[in-house]
Amino acid sequence: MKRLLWIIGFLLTVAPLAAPLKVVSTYEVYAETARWVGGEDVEVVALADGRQDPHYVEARPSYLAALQRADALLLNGLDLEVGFLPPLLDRCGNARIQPGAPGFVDLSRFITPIEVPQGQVDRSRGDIHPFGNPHYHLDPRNMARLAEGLAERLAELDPAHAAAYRKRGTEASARYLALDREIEATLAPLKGASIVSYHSSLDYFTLRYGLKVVGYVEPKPGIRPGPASLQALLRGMREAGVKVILAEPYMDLKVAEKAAGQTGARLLVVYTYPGKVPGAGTYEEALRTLAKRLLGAQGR
Amino acid sequence: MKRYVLAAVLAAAAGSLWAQQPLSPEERIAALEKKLSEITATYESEIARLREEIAALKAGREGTPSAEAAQAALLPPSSSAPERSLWSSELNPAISLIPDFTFSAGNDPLWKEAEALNVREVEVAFSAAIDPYARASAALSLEDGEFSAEEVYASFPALPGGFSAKLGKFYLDFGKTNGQHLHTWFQADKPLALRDFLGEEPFSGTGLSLNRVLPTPWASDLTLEVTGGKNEGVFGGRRSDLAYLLAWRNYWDLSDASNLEVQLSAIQGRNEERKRTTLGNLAVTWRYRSDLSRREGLMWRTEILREHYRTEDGLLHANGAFSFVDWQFRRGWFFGVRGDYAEHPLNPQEHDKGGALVLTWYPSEYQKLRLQVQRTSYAGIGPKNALVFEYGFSLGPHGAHPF
Repeated sequence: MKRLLWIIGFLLTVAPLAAPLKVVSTYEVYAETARWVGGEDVEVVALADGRQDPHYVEARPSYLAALQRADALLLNGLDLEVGFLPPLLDRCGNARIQPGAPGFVDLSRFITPIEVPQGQVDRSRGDIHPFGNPHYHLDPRNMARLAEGLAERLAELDPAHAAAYRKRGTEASARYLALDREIEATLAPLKGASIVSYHSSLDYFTLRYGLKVVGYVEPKPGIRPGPASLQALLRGMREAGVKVILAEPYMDLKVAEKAAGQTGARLLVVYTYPGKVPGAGTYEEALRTLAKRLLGAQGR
Repeated sequence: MKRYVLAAVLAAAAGSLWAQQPLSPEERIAALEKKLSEITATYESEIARLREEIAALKAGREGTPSAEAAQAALLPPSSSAPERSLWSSELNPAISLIPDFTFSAGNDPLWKEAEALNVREVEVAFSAAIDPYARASAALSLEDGEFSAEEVYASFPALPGGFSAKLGKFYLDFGKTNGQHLHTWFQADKPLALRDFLGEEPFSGTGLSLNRVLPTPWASDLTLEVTGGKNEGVFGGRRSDLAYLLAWRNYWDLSDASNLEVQLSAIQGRNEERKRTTLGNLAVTWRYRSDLSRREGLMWRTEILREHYRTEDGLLHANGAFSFVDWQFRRGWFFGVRGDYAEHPLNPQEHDKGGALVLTWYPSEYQKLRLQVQRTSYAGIGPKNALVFEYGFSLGPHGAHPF
């Protein structure tokens, strides 16, 4: 009996000291989801924030320390991290987050990608993503699905807090859906409006809220426009009466400025990945800012 | 559906004809012919409309599928899906082909030995998971009509105790530049100190590499490599000799935009006189990248090398160093400057020195054009100049390189 009391006492002492689940997210946008879903049961670190081009995050050896301690790695998937994550995983020496391990959480599994290339897939089509457009976070309904999926994965990794993860997952999902309704209402006057985007990174957003992308500044993903493609774009913009060009700050803004200048359209430089950037400190703020600026630029 | 439409139209036509009594047989035939031609026209216009609809649906699928179409993709594949081949290629490794071409002019012996228009190297790289525990990588190089294995190894990314390992033939973790494949060099040629100390070929070895991230407050890792002790140009021991390498890498984020990396590495093996040869390397790299874009960036790297070569007559030692700056001044464009110094390992009184100016343009991630002007003063030969144009491209999914 005395021994049993000792054991119970020991467990009571140690249980509160149980370390929270260590989660590393490749991008801040999913770190935020993990914080919503994980609450006080997780410790979350993001490798990249809104300032970096998500396609070209520089692999820093300092990321290794975070990855070595991680219990779960959240990644965007669909090849978005192919330029920096593999060498980090090779050297971090952490079996818990290697591909195939329970801690390797490819978030793209929870959504259905768009623009999955059909037919022959090669670089003549530009820097395409063979598994589909990877910028799915810009449709909040995807984030809602993802929050619930993530809650299940965290529950598997940390069964002691499973109920809490599922509860917070449902709450997070509802929060994303509320945001979706809000953005839908904000952008309702723009339904069917023609816009131009620099890259295909906003396609989930434009598809969701009924904006019509009549062209891209890049003639093909990742390919800089030449004089002929730029002229074709300008013609298309004039015909469709495009008033807005959307571009992220890490794109070649000179070309976008030129296109805007020659057609009278307005160039909106927007952050599509949140974190440490003005007007897009959080996901909700990023989407609200984007919707508000679009509305303003269209003169509504 | 079309059959029903046709039948209904025919029935209507027949009914209409029946109602128009009485008609002569010729009139009835003429009326029937007229009706038939009307039916044909209706039928053809219906087919044309359906074709347009199918084309529009196909175009939609190839462009941006609707949310409904995306949702439909969630459904399990239908039974009409094509049969899979018994000899599926899906488990083949990722294969990449990376050729490098040079055009050189001038009197520098480094470039004069090669053809003026030269396929310098064709690298063929393979990588795939071997099983759930290990990955394999291979880089084969075709040079002068001969294939050689630059690297062929299995990597074990998650061993117990936080270790990762490589087993096979690999580039030794000696300094920063030695670990880079030719197509990722910052200049068209290898720095003089690496050429003089380690030879023209990559400094590689066959054996085991063990790495572990250290629990230091800053980012740090340690690598131990044990490889065969025969290495052309560096070690000349017997087949039973081994070479031992220790590399300690340290890394600090100075700010969000800049970081510093300091790597110390040393390798020891037996030379042809069965005495010890030790090589040391201090590599310092500072990187700056603008937060918001890929249009601006700066990297400075310096590597200092020292060799101790023990002989029957005593100890010889030689020093070498190179330093370069690589400045990205706009998207895809880089300008670099490099300075070189290298004493001859077996005759430290003699030394080579030189420098290079480099302009590189990447039209896309998968093509590179480079123009390099270099001047090198070789001991006993004097100053030599070269103008080099380099072109390279990459086919396939060749992934990220170690940082």
